[in-house]
Amino acid sequence: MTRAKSLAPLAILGLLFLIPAFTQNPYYLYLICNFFIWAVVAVSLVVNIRTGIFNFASAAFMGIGAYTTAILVVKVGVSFWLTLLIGPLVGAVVAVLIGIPMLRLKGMYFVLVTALFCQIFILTIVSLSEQTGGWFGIAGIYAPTLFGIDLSEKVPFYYLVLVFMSLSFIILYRIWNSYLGKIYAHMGENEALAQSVGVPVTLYKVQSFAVASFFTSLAGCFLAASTSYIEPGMFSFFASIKVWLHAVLGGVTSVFGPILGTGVALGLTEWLRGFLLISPIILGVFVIIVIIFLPRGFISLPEKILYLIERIPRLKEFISRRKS
Amino acid sequence: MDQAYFVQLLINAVMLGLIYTLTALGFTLIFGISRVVNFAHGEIYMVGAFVAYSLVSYGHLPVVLALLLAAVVVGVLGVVLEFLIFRPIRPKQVGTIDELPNVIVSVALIYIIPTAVVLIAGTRERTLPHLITGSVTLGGAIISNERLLIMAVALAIFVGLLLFIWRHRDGRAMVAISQDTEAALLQGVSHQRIISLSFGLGFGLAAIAGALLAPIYFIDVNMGPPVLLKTVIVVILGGIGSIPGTLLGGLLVGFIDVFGQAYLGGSLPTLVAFALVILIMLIRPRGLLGHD
Repeated sequence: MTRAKSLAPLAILGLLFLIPAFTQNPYYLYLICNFFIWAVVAVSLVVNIRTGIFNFASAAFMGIGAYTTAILVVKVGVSFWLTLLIGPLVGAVVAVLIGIPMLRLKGMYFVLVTALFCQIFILTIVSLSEQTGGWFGIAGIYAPTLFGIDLSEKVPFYYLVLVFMSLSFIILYRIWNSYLGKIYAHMGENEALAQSVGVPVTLYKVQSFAVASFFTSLAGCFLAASTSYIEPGMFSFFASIKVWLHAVLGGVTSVFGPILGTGVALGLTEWLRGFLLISPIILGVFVIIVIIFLPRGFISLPEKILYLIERIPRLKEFISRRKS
Repeated sequence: MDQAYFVQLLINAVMLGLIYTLTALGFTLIFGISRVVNFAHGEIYMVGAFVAYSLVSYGHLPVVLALLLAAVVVGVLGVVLEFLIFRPIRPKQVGTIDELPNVIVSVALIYIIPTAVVLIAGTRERTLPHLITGSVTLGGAIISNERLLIMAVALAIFVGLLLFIWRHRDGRAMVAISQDTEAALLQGVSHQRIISLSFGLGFGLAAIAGALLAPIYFIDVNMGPPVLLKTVIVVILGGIGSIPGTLLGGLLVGFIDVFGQAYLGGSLPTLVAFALVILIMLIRPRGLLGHD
């Protein structure tokens, strides 16, 4: 990786840290926190996609994290920090439990079954309405104080989310580029081949699924604290579909793609909020046009531009002359 | 248990089951041939109901004609959509991540279609006038002729589809493509033609299913998502790519819905359906009659 490439993400991270210096508007900060949370979910999903796991249960795992935090903090009085540990762990355990039977299923079936799992999750929450508030949800989820700073205040909360979500992203990034990440990629490309050379595919698939669910649940915990109110409808499989939109729009071939995709999608949704009635149409048409032009997502824009340039003969000659 | 009540439940279950079957067949058809998971299938069902409604209220067509015409119109819409947005992103190779754009496009349709319908038609509740009036007495129960007619039409469409698949050249081409695409192409089957056909049929089936139930239930822009959910359950239970399996799955879900609602009520029927899905998943992943 060239110097510039490795510095760019750090620069961006630095910028993110400085944002509260420019604006303290609670709504903007809330939007950016939302972006961090959904971006991490999208990145986790892309790690799964790379492994060949077409996971449509992201929303359910966000729900697991969110409800764990909500119930423990509001109803049981457990420390928020502890729930940040318990929530993702519950998510990972559930992922292992349902992963082992589900991951045996072939492509399309797995898609349908994970989508169904979101609905199962919602129904479960609703049936346990004693503990979970049923359809009405749980309110009053707040982050605690740390060293005297009330973390549920907008600016401190922003930093809280930024720290945890960027840590999550860094871990996922490291996994992606590690030896394990390469194994995942090989499995995703040709599972039979990987298995034939001795890769324990089931083990790694469950592991990948559990890791993604861990971070997705963690993001869910912060979602609960960010909106301070959660209800089952937030975690339907249509929410999972949103995550897929973010991931594929940005590009599933890199960890940065989903971040880009989430940013564009959320930004666009926000910008279109004024055009209330037709905004879904504009969004939908935008997505379709982008995907037709860039099937591999925004992240493939540079290579697409280069590809187009190559097709222009005079430009090609010009470039090759400049190269020599 | 009151026999009359039981008969009514039975008729409803079969009727609903057949409708679910038709919808699921549309879904499975599109997936089997074009490898597209049509997440917007529920929305197409809804559009079918709305188009039928418009044909009746504004076109003043007789209801039964409106139903069939609605299916044709929406079927054509399917072919057009395939041409406009699914064809440009068709992957060169199946089973790769290049198939993902299809998912995104059908997801985009979930946003676009209901919004467009609201813009065109507004959000007030509507219902279709009855297909026919009158009722018969069956086994001590009073059954409306309308429900029987719906059952008959749904069954006729199902049988028609079967005949098409078995006898008609294009129908057999569809089976061939879904079983072994390369071999089918070698036999001279036009891939594009079959793909367009699958979209047209798939959309048309969803539309007529929606239109058929319209006289009984309210037509509402949000009736798409629950239909998608039911379709997914039917397909998992019955097995993708198996028509008899889809019929079995559809009837099963229909029975669970109707009898579950009658005896258990609330969201318990859905829970039962889910439990069944989990069971199938564990014991027989490819569905009751699936082959793939």
